[in-house]
Amino acid sequence: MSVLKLEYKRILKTRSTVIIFAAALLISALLAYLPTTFAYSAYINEAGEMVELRGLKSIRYEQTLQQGISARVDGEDFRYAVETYQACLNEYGLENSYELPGEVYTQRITPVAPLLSGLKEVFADPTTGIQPTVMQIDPSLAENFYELSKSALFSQAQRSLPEAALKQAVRLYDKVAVPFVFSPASNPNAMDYQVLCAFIVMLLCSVVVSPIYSSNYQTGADDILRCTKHGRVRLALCSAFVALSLSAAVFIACTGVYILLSNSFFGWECVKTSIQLMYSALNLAALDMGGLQLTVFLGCLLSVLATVSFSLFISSKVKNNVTSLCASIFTCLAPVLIYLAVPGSFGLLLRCLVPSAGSCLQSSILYALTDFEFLTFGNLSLWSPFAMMIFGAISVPLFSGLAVWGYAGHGSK
Amino acid sequence: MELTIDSVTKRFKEKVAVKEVSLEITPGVWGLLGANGAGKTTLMRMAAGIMKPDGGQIRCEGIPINVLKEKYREIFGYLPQEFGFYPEFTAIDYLEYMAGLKGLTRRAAKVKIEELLERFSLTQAAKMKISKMSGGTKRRVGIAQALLNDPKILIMDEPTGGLDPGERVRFRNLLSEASRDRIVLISTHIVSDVEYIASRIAVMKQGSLIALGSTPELVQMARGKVYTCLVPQDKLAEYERKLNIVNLRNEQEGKVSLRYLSQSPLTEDSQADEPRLEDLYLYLFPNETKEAE
Ligand SMILES: Nc1ncnc2c1ncn2[C@@H]1O[C@H](COP(=O)(O)OP(=O)(O)OP(=O)(O)O)[C@@H](O)[C@H]1O
Ligand SMILES: [Mg+2]
Repeated sequence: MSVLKLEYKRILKTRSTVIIFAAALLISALLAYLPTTFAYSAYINEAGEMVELRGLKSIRYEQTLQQGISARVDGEDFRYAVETYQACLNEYGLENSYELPGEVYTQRITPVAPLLSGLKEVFADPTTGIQPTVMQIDPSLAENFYELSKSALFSQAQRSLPEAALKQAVRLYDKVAVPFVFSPASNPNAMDYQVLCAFIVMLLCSVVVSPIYSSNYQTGADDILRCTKHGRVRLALCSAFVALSLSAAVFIACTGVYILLSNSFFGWECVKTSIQLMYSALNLAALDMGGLQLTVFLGCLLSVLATVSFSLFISSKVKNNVTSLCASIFTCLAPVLIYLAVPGSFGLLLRCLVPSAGSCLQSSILYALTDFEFLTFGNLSLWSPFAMMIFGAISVPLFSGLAVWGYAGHGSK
Repeated sequence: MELTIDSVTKRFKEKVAVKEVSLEITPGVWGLLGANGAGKTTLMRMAAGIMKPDGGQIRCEGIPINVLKEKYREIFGYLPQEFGFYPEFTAIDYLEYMAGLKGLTRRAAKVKIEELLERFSLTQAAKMKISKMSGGTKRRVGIAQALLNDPKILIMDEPTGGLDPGERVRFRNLLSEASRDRIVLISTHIVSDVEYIASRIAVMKQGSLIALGSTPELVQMARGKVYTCLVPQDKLAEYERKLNIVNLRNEQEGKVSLRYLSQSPLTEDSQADEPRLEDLYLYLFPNETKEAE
C-alpha cells in the first residue's frame, strides 16, 4: 500500500480539513462578488428623474458610457479627456470634479475618468514631483502623452532611486507596450480582493498544515510511527508532499473560482486593459490586467507554498499543535507587521524574504508590482516583485527539505 | 534471532535512568519487571531505536540497530506505554495506515487486519473511533498494531495495562503461542503477567539490572524468606507495623493468617512457606509494597 495514498486519505478524512477547504471555496466566491457592490452611477432619464445604479447594473452602464475611449488609447484620446474635463468644470464654474452633481459626473467625467490620473502623473513637476490639477494641463500638450511619460518616469526614478535601480527602472518601463489598451468599465478594485482571497487561503492552509508533524509528537503517535519500516524519511516526505499538493490544489481552485467569477462580473474584455491605466501610468510592469491577474496568481501560489513549507518546518520542530499553529499564523502576518515596524530598505528586504510575502495584503506581490521599490546591494538592484518570486521559489524546497529532515531525525538525541 | 543490549546507559541531566544494562535476548517471552521509574520504558525506547543511548550499544544479530535502520524496523513491533494515534481514526483506518507504513501489500494487510481484529475481539469495535474507545479496547488496538508485520522482535511496554482479567488471560495465552520463534519483551509491574509465560525475567531497579533468570530460578532467591503465621485479629495493627506483610487472610475464631517476608522467623509459631515470584518482587522492592498489587 502506498504511504502517499494513505497519507492523502488520512488528511482528507479529517473533518475539520474538509470543512476548512470548503469554507475557502465559498469565501473566494463571496470575495469575487464583493467589489461589484461598490460600483455606483447615477443619471437623469428621459422623464427627468434621477436614476441611481449600483452593483452589476452600474458596471454594465459604465461599460456603455466608456465606449468613447478607443481600445488603443492614443494621444488624441488624452487630449479629448482633458478638454472634456475642463469644459465640464468651466461650464459649472467649479475647480474640482467632486463638487459636480453625481449625475453630471457620471454623464460627463466617468467616460474619460480612467485617463485623468495618468495625465496628472505625466505632467508632474520633474524636480519636485508635485502634480498639477487637470485644469492646469494644456490640452494640446496632452497629445504627447507617451513621449512625456518616458521622461516623467526618468524624473521620478531620479528623485527616488539609486543609480543602479534607476537604470533597471528605465529598462523595465521601455518594455511597457504603448499605446495603452482600455476596455470599458475596467476597475482595479477586484485585484485587491484577489490578494485578500489568496491571503485567506494561505491562512487556512497554514491552519490545516501546522499540526502535520507536531500532532504526532503531541499525541505520542510518533513513537509507533517511527518504529515502522517507512515511518521516518518516507512518511515525512509523503506528509510534506500531501500538504504542499493539497494547498496548491485548494489555492488554484479558490483563485480560479475568484478570477472566473470576477471576470464574468466585470467583463472578460477588461483583461486586455493596460495596468498603466488602472494604477500609475508610470507602472513598471509590462502587463495587462489579465497578465496582472496571472502574475499575482503565480506570486501568491509561490508564497502560499513557501508559507506551507515554512509551517511544515515549524511543525517538525515544536512539540505541540498550539505552538505550531501560532507560529504559522504569525508567519502569515509577519510582512504586515514588518511593514508597520521596520522602515526603509532593510524592512523591504525582510518583507521580501518572509515566505508569506507574496500574499500578505499591503506587502503582497500586487502592491510590489504596482510600486516602485527596489532592493539594492551595492551596484546590484532588484525590483521587489522579482525578489519575492525568487525568495519564494527558494523557500519551498528549502523549508520543506528542512521539515522532512527535522521530522526524520526528531528525537534521535 | 538475538537482540543484544550491551552495557547501555541513558542519562537525563543528572538522573541516570538506565545504568549499564546488558542483556542477551533470545526468542521466547521475556519479562521486564521493575517498580515505577525503574527505567523500563527508557530501556525499551532505546531498543526501539527512538532514543539514543548515551553509552553502550544495541545490536540485532550482532549488527548495531542504528546501522540496520529500515531492516531492523521491518522485523520490529512496538507498543509504547502511552499509545498515541490520530484522533480521527477508527480502528480499521488505523490498522490500515499502520500496515501501509510497515510495508504490507494491500492484500496482505486486509488478511492480517481481519485476523487480528478477530483475535483481539475487536470486530465489533472495528468502525469505532479510537478516541471514543475504552482504555482496554484502545490497548488491544495498540497490541494488534504491533503484530501487523509479524515482527521477529516484539517489544511491548505494559501491554496489559487497562485490560480486564479475561482479556489479560487471553493475552497471556496469545503471547506464549506467538513467541515460539520470536523475541517478545514485555514490561510490567504486575508479576502474574509474566510469572507463568516468561521464559526469562529481568528485574530492574533504579536503572540497573538486579536479577535475571527463569521464574523458578528467581523464586529460589526468596527461599527461606517467606513465612506464615496466625495472629489474633485485635493484634493485627501491631503486627502490621512490625512485619513486611505480603498477604493476609481472615481465618476462623478471630484469627488472621499472615504471610510475610523476613530473613528469619519473627514469631514463635511462624512456618517457612513456599516462595512465589511476587514474594521476590516485594522482597526486592520493599518500599513499593503499598503500590504493587
Ligand atoms: N524524557 C525524560 N526526561 C527526563 N527524565 C526522564 C525522561 N524519561 C524518563 N525519565 C526519568 O527516568 C527514570 C526512568 O523512567 P522510565 O519511564 O524509564 O521508568 P519505568 O520503569 O518505565 O516506570 P513506569 O513503571 O512508571 O513506567 C524516571 O526517574 C524518569 O523520571
Ligand atoms: Mg514505563
